[in-house]
Amino acid sequence: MTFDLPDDDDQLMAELREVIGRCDPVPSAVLAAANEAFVWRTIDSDLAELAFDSLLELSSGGVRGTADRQLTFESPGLTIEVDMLDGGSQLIGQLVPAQPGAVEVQASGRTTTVTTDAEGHFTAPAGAGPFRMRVDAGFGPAIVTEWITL
Amino acid sequence: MSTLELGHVVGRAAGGDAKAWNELVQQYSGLVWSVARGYGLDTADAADVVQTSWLRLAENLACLRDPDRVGAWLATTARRESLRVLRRGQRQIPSGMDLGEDITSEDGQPELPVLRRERDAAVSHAFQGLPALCRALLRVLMSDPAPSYAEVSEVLDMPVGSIGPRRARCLDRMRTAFETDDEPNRPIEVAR
Repeated sequence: MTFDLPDDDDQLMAELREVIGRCDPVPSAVLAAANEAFVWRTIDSDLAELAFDSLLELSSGGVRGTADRQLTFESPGLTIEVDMLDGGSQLIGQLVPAQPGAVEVQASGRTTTVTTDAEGHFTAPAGAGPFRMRVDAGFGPAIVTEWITL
Repeated sequence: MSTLELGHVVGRAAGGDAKAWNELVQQYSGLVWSVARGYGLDTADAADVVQTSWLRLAENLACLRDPDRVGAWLATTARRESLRVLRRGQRQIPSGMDLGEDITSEDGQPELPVLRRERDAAVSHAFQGLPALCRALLRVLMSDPAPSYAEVSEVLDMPVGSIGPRRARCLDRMRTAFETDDEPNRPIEVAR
C-alpha cells in the first residue's frame, strides 16, 4: 500500500493545514490568557526595558554566584537587577540607585507585594510563566518592567 | 481585516476598548501560536511564549509605530521569545511537534477511518522529518487566518521574495521524504 502526496503545492499545503493544523489548534486556555492580557496594559507607569539577560550571554561567565539566571531592567531613573534562584522559584533583587520601595511581582492569576530594605534589596517568590515587576519608590510614577518568561 | 481597519482596531484597543483587543486576539492568535510551535516548542512553553507576546503588546499598545503591522510585531516578539526559551538551560530542541499520537478525534466524533489515520500519521511524520526552517515556515503558513507574505517575511526574518521559492523547496523535500522514507507508521503489509 502506498500513499502519494499531491503534486500541486497549494493542494499539499491544504492537506498539511488539515493534518497538522487540526491536531494543533490554539488551546482555549491560551486564547483566554491572550484576551486577559488586556487588563495588564500599562497606563500610568514608566517602562523598564530588559537590558541584560544572562541566558543570552554565550559565555557561561555571565552569571555571577549561584543564580540560575540574571536579569537587568533599565528605565531612565531606575535600574532593577534580579537573580533567579532555585530553578526560577525565588527571585532576589536590588534597586539601583539603592533606595527603599515597594515591589509588586505580577504574574497572571497572582500578585505578590514585597517591601525592600533601606538599601533596595528584596526577595520574592516567583513561579512558572510570564511575570513582571512594578516598583513604587514612593515618588514619581511607578516603574514597570517588561514581561519576561522564565 | 484591511490594514486601515487594523490600525483603527489597534487605536481602539489602545484607548481601552476590550472588544477591539478581542478582535486582535481572534485575528492573530493562530499566527502567534504557529510561530512558537513552528520553532518546536512543546505546548506548555508555547503557551508561555504566546502569553508573553500578548502581554508585551498590551504594554506597548499605545506606542506602536506601525499599528497596521501589529500581527508582524506580535509574531516577531513570539519568535524572539521562542528562541530565548530554546536557549534556556541549553535544553534539547524537540524534533517533533508531538503529533501522530493525537490523530484520533475527540468529543465523541467518530474516529477517522484507518486508512485516513495512517495517511495522516505518514504526512505528519514526513513533516516532522523536515529541517527546522522548513517546519517553521510551513507551520506559520498554515496558521489560521492565513498570514500575508509580508507578515511571514517579518516573522521569520526572510525576504518576501524568498518565501514562495522556499515553500516550494520545502514541499518538494516533503514529497521526496514521503516517497523514499521507510517509516514505521506505514502499515505493515502482511503476506497472505
